[in-house]
Amino acid sequence: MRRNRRVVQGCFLALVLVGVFGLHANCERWCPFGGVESLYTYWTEGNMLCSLGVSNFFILGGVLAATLLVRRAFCGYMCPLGTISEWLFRVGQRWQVPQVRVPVLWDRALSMLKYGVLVVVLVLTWRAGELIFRGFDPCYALISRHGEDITWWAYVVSALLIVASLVLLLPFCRWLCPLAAVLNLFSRFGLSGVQRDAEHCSECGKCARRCPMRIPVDRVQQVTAARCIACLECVAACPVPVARQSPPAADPVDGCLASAPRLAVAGVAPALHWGPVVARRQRWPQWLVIAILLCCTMGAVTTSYLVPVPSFVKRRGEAPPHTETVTLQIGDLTCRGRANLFGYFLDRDDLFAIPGYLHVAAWPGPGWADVQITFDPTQTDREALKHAITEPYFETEDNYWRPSPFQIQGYDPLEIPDLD
Amino acid sequence: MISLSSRGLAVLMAMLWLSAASVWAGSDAGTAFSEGEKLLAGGDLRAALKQYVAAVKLDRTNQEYLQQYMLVRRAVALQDTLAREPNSPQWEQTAVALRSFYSAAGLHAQALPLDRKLFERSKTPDNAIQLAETHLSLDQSDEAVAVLSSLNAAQGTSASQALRAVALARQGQVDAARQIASQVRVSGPSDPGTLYMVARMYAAVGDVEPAMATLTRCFEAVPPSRLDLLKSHARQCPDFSSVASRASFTAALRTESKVSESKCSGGSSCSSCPMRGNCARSASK
Repeated sequence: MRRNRRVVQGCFLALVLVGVFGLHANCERWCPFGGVESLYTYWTEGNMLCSLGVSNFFILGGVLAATLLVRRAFCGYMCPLGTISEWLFRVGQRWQVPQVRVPVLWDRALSMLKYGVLVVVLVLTWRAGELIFRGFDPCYALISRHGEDITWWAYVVSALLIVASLVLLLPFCRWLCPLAAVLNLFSRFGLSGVQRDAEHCSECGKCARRCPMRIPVDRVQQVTAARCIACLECVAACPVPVARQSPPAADPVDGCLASAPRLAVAGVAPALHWGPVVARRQRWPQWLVIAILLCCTMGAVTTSYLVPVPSFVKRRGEAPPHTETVTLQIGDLTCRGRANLFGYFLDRDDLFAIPGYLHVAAWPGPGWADVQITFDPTQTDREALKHAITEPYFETEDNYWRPSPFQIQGYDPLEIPDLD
Repeated sequence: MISLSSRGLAVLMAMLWLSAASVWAGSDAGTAFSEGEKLLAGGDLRAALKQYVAAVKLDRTNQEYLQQYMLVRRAVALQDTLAREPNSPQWEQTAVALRSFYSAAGLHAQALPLDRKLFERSKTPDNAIQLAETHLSLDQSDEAVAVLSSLNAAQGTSASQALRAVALARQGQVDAARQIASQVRVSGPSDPGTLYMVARMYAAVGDVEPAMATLTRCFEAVPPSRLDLLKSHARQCPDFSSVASRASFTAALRTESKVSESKCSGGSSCSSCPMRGNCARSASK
């Protein structure tokens, strides 16, 4: 079980690293917490924050759906920061670094911090309208293209996290992660979870000791704790072999598996298992947990490609009955701020105003970003739009000529009909 | 011994030819661009534009060539607009944009008629300053003084007064210039244009210390993207020629901007943007 989980964790971490460092993909676009941070701005303005995309909402939806089905399995199998933190702890164990076990009461108190972090991050982000905490985000610092936009604070926080992870198991995930705080609200209503066969359980406590989230598995019949990450470490640690049941018979569900003698013996399994909350005798194999998680997240990714919703929209005036739309690939349209500037180029009221511009929808991001411009063909044309985007402009505020910061892929300024 | 097969030799020759061709093309583009710059300095924008087109065609990777080509093309288009529609409602806007281009390109003789027309149409302090500045650039300090003197007391601003003092100092009327300088007060946050004029005024009348202090304040108030241009202007400005060798002037030229400028026109993400926290507000304006 542990090996399966590590393989999934390793594959997903590798996918993220190859995507970010090899393919220069925008990792932020696939962060579920980005969806949480952008909710307010998208609701009020219709635009995503900074370089986030509507894909953040899709992936957030996928992760929340997975959380409702298999609790916080996203944290246990997919979160790159969780993987790095957990693997560092294993390294610490191997290097025999003295490890700290925080008392349960302290652990419970510290775990409340993440709700405070969530509130502070959301309130300040929503008020500022930008990802102002990105500069301190260890996940962004560890998994991003390290360059101009990582502040040294992010590295300090990351270094602290790395050191803490060597001596503590999942300190960020347990105590500080704001996404964990969001997922906990949904995980509490998870449709499946760890079930304990109280009759056969020897109450050795190995399951509780192995639980990275410090859940007292040995003292409950069913793990309902929101913080369960479906790692199944407890199931793997259980030393009690129990006769595995055949599929639930017509027996009444009596709350435990005490009716074992009446069940057909189909093999040997531990006294703990993962299964649905409503039919507690049913056992879900680990691959089903992984499959549900993959279906939810990959489904979200696929949907975001199939339904390309723009992450930046700007409108001007009423649309006439007949309009035209031009799709362009724009360079350096990396974020919401740049998209605002791009909007200015179209919405200008100076010498180079474009009377027929109506609507711009953009997907800001690194490289060449897609943009759709809708215009009134009776007032302007595609060439005039391209011209307005790429030509130098005169800043009337301080009487100063500036070059345009934008380029259009495949557009040659020399192709404009000659002036003489 | 190194032996080369005929195929290897052909590849080597091809590589040498390609690199020689690219160097030749690059230098040819450079020559065309330099020729364009000379023609522009002479005021022949259309001929300059042709040279810029040649430079861009020869070296499409060079952004400097491309930007200069597009800028001059815009200026030519503005010239055409002004000639075609002399009474258009946008005449003033077009004239201001074109005279700014002329001024930045050092084409003061071309800027002068536009500045005169702008001042005739609207006798504002800004238009007077532009016209006087152009006169000063053409060593016509008498005309500059006349223009600035034509502003009545109510219209006069710190900047116009300072420029009048500069013009008087250039005429040799240093005492009159000093008298104006004693009346000009710039307190609190001021726009960098006014501060620059005042710094020039103090330098022109020989008050080095306040000149350098004001120049430093001016550089601090200029957005980073325009600082180099203004410093370059200060280095060449005749009003600062008497202080150019002083350490205080060198120190002032090392001043960094204290203005937060959005990197939306230069940066790649909001994280390092000095306008962080203000983006949404500026966007909603």
